Amino acid sequence: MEPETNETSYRYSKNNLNDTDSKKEFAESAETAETAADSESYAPDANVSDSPAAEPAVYSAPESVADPALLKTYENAHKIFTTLFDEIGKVIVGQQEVVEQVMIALLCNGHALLESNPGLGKTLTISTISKVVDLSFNRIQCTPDLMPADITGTTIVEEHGGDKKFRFEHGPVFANIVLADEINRASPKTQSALLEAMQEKQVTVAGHTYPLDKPFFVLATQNPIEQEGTYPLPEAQLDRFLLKILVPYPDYKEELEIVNRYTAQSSPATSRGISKDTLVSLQKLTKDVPIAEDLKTRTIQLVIKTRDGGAIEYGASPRASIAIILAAKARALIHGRNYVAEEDVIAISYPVLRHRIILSFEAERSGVTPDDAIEDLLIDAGFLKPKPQENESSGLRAKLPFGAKK
Amino acid sequence: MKNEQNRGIILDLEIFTRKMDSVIRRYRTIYDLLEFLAIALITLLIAVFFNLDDIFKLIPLTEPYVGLSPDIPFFSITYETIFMFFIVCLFSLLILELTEKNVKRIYKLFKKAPPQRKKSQDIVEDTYPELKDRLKTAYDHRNADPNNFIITELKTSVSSDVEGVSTSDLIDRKRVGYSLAAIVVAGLFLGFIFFTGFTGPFSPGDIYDRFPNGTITQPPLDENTSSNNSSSIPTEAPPIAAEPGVDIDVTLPPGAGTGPGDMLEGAENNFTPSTPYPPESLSSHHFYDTLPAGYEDIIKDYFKKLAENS
Repeated sequence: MEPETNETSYRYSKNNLNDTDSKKEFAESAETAETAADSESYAPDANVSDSPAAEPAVYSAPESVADPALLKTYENAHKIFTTLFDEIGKVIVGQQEVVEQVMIALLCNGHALLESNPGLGKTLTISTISKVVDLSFNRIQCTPDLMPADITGTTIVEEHGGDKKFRFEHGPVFANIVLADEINRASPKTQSALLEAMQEKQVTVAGHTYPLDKPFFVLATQNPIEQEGTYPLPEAQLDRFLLKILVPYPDYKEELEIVNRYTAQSSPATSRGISKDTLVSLQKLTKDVPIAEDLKTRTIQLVIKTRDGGAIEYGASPRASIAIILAAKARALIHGRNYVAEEDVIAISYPVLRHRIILSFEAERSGVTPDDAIEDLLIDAGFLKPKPQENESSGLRAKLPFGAKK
Repeated sequence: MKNEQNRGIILDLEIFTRKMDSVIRRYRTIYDLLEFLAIALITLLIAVFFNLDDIFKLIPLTEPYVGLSPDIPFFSITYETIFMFFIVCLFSLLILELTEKNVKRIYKLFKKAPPQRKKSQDIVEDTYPELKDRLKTAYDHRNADPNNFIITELKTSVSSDVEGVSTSDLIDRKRVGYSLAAIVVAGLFLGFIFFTGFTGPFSPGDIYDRFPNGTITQPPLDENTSSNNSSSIPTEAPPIAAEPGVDIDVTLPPGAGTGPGDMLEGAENNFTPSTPYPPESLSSHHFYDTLPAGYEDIIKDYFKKLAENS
């Protein structure tokens, strides 16, 4: 987990709603409201006449009770996430950001693509998360000869007491979490079969449509260094992935810990962290986390900026705006905040945008990476401050060839 | 009861935001006034140092008023000082207006002031990091469904936290400090000039004297070049411009004209030295470069015959 930068963030301070002081405050506020209503009648003055303050001030929804199960999950959210990350941490050393981003994808009901060099624990991370979360898990090892039916399932003839009838044999895609290992080694035909499952959450075999279990996640891995015998995922399919997560190399301490853990007699094991129902509740809660209009506007402007040209040949679709906002909400929930902070948008912009933008030839030739381009966009959109050392001799502008429009 | 609580929170947030808008607007007026005063004093300092009030003597419209004072009881001020203050104020306003930020402010003086709510919330959030992103989120969602306990919790905590916001913390001390420093420094220099009478090396009148009709006056000739000093009589050949392709007969009949040779003998004659030719006038390069063949001999013959005759 990333260290909490905002020390003042609210960590599920449910007591605010229940303690005596809060009740007293509420009562006082109500009195103030009535007094102010009498004296000012909420008449918008000249200064605020065209501000949102001029909207009807009082919400007149009928009194109802919030979903108690959801409230309970929210109250325990901090404990749930702590347990979850602790359990995963028993097996996975370091990689907090990767684990967090996979969890964000699960909370957003989205798919994730993990990319790294071999041996960095992509598959282990995903299988561990699926074990910790009480969800059914299937693994598909993608190879060039893998057929669509190997994923979706096939209809077989079954004989019962002399009667023959067709029966659909479910493929490995019928699980809550599907690990598509080395997805770029599967043929485009097979990748397309996965596409329908990812987007529509259903599969169609022999004219019959079979809905998939809910929740359904495809967590795919790919190796960036192997080019022979691979079929790079088409842009349309890449866009289906909520996040593209880069798995970094561990540092010395982490690698030492990995060696110590995996050279001992007993292998690390995990236990169930959260149930399927809890996960569904957390998914609902994620959507309820509020985000300021200003931040939302700036996020959309950030995505629109990807279409302005320069280092980026093709920008991100509106799906990217939805993904950033939703993933930022999930990140806020994981970090124990009841609001989306700017840092959430910054952190989530990289995994959401890096596979949705296509760099120009000049930029690629100059060694610009998608993350460089995203960082520059974040600076342009006012999310990040320009780095002090970023001058003529460094940064994206320096990498771009002379005359390339930024 | 739940609606009552929610209503109270909404009102708290709205009252707070309205209050902050008002405070920030007031502070902005103070910044504007201080910046205007600082620019005006600096401009006035420059104007006084270079005696720019002299310029009114040169303007036909204001010239009759120079040195006069309007009839104001118990107070004496000359018209040129009033004019100068007026110009300084205009200039200061112009400078303020040229700044993009202040163009908006001046625009707002004449148009309906746009709401500063977002800006004031940004300032509050910047001053109080514990409210960062929370205040705006809570305010934007103040009318959200009270059953959304995440938003309700946020609103409750924010409405409680904003009670600790002190409006005096929101003032931009650095900006005020810079303006005050500029005012003090300019004021001190003005005081120094006022008490010592120390001013710049020239005034607009001096510049005007140098450019009476928009052209540079020819500098007066010094004594060495005056007409009374015979040693300064130019003896060089007068400039001759030869036009390419045009034959000019420059031969002089021997004995025609008088020359400085008579003077050298001390005899009286009616030779009148010519006035010095304007130093800015130069001989044409054609004289040296494209002197037609044969001309040099003609010139030499001329001087030989002139010498023989004398």
